[in-house]
Amino acid sequence: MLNIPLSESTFKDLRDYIYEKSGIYINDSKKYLIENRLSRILQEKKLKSFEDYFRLLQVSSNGNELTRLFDAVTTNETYFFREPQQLNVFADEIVPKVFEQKKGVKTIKIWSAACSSGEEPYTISMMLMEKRLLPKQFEIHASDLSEGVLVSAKRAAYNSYSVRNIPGPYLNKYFSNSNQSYTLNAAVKKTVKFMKANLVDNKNTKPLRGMDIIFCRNVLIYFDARAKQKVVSNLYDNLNPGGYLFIGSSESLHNVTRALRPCIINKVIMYQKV
Amino acid sequence: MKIMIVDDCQTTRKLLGHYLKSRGYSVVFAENGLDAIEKLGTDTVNLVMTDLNMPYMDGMELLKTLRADPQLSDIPILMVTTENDEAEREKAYSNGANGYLVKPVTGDAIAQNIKDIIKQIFAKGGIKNG
Amino acid sequence: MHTSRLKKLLRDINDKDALTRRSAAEALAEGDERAVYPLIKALRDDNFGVQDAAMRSLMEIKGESTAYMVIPLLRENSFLRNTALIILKEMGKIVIPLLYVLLNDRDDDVRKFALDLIHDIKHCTYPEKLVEMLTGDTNANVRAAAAKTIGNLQYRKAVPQLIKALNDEEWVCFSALEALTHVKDESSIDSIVQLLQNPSETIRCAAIEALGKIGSANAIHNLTDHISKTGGFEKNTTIKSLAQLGSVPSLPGVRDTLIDMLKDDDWEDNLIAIKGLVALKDITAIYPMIDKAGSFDLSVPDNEDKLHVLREAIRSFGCNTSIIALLNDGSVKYRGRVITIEITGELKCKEAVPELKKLLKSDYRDVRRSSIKSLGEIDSDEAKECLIEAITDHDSHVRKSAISALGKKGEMAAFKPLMNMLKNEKYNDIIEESISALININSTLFFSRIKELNAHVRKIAARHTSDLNSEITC
Repeated sequence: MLNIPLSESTFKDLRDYIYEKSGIYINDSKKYLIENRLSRILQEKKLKSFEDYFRLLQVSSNGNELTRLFDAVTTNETYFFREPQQLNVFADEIVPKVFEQKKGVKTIKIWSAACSSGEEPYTISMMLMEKRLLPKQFEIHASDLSEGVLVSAKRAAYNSYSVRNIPGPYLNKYFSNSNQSYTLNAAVKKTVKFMKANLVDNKNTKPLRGMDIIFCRNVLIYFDARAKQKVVSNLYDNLNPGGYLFIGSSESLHNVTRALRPCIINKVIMYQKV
Repeated sequence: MKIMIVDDCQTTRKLLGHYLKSRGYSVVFAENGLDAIEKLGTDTVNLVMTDLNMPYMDGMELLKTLRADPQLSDIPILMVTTENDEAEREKAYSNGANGYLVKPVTGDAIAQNIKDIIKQIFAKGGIKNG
Repeated sequence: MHTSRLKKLLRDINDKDALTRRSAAEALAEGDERAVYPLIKALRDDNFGVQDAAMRSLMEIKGESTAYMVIPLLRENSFLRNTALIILKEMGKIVIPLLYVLLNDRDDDVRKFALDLIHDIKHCTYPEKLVEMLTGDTNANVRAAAAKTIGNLQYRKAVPQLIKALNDEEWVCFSALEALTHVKDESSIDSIVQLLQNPSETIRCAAIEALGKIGSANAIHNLTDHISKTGGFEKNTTIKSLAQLGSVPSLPGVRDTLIDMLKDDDWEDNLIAIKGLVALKDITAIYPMIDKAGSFDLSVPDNEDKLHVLREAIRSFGCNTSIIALLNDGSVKYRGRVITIEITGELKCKEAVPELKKLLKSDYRDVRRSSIKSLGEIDSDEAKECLIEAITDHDSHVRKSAISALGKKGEMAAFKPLMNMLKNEKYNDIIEESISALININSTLFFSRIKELNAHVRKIAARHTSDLNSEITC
């Protein structure tokens, strides 16, 4: 890896730029992380300094450079069936509750609000299929800030790391395996609609109104307090009354909003729009 | 025995934490009622010690929410607050509080109250984990 | 905001439909003073979403007149009071002048809320008033809040009064200690040291923590002295404070306490433990550090940072027998093993080469890869031989890592094996890597022998030539 130093002032410039474009806030302690991750981009593009990279971002007319930047600063590893206790409560308790609440309405609408390369929405789809829900009984919408990961998500081909938590029967039933690459069956792929969305911008999230259940897991940590409030407010607006929000089990809304009420089922917390 | 301390003031959390840790209790902290509920969902706690005045969800709302939750309704709850008001005290007890102490409070007073609450609960039929 | 729009929103905020009321409350964030009263009214709405939107809009409007209208809510019910505190805190400094009068309020709670606000806003134009409350208020909660606030403001002129408050009741003394910790004035150290003899264990522990944060040779000396006079929780607190100061005595029980701190779930305590163990230079601490580092789930944000901290700490021990022994220690978890391998490479531990060689036979690809990479960083003949041998490993990732390392070293002994390997290599990325390596080792010789290679390889090599040429012309 190249050893190009990231100066304090350029770090601040990059940080402000990222915040302006996405609401994502990188605090001071993450400077070395940014240096590390962006060094790879510099190396690929044969750039000699972070200042050159920053200039490139500013003049780049298509969104690709920005997408690449977001990918670099936010991507953490993700995988299928992440936080299985939450998912079990979702499938066993919340889905039936929602159907009961919605008497007469036959389709449940779910949004995976930071879907990355699709592991979460596809997990949800497989679980609902295992619950014998027909595709017409559920709609899964999935969004992410980065177009790059959405392309991966639509391709739905995964490595052994991503699938490591999938129970054997699911893997056999819903994937085909070739040379350590696992591809989802068409039937599952069809159940998820992907789109690009910036959670901070309510114009972006407006098309996703009327959701019964929203998953927004392990993404709020990227925002500062102000942006977090904005994101949660948008998620609230997109939920139907009585709808549920799942966030990451290590995340919290306790200094963000009191509009969503926490409920606990089987040691899993979710938030309801009452 | 694990106790959750719920207070929006960091200094108070620290002080109450010292009182309890030095007496052999293990302690977890929460900044307000919402934080407490988030943590109680996943953490096993034997008693909750909570302030009344807190942002986002105050102590009284926390008390009512816990008493209404089937999985958490049995957790003993001790209010520790600056509100030295008889009406507030009665309201707390009628909503299911097990004890009510007014700040400033000593470590000995807290320890004694906790022992008394546990004794009462055992007399009624045992303590369940949260 | 245009008057007609404002009028519409002021109607909508009273609409029957909660969604309409919420949208109106949100939109009124762009309003002016005329929006304030309706928003304050909306704080009492039945719907949580409307309350929430009203609160956030009031935070946006700001302005002294807004603060003036919100302050009376401090006398209302608990929810409104707490909501007012959130709003006023967000408004910041403009609120401060309006709080002065509340500091003289008859209601103890109101005085305390005002102090808490000043504390949270971290700004005050009348700190002497706070000092007056610290020394003269009749209510202990208020005096404690005054101490806490003075500390947060770091108002040094109040140090004598804070020292005096160490003799107040326990509740206030504790806050005064916290305040002195924030101010970090060394003139308070002697008074705090005296508290090590206080009959209350809580105060003694608070004093120990304060000394650990303020620091000074005097603090270190007294804390070191105190370890042997105490036990249990108090002793652990003393060790923790010394660790924070980076001055850890090699006394019985100290290392074990720090290891226990490292193992628990509180990352702040873990950091102190790491600092202490590094200060102790006890290489037996490396295993628990590796164990901790290996336990992090890197899909959890923040764990990457924590891992970084631990790696730096382990590296600071330098190359040593303990870390080398861990390379093939069966009790080290898989991820911990990979971290150990990587660190020995970063440290260029020659003595680790024999152990790294053994790891090339591991069942785990990541272990083999990182071993090869680390061998690549170590300058030794034995390491070089391993790398050359690994050029023909069955695992393509291992081959690639070995080739890359040899290329970076410019290792001439690898030239012939690389040329031979290229004649049969299938994977393009490995072919690319090999060509880069060969060019780096001896470009003239490589291009003179390029005819020995097949057409596909020559084509890839040609791309490298054009890159080379373009670099030259630039």
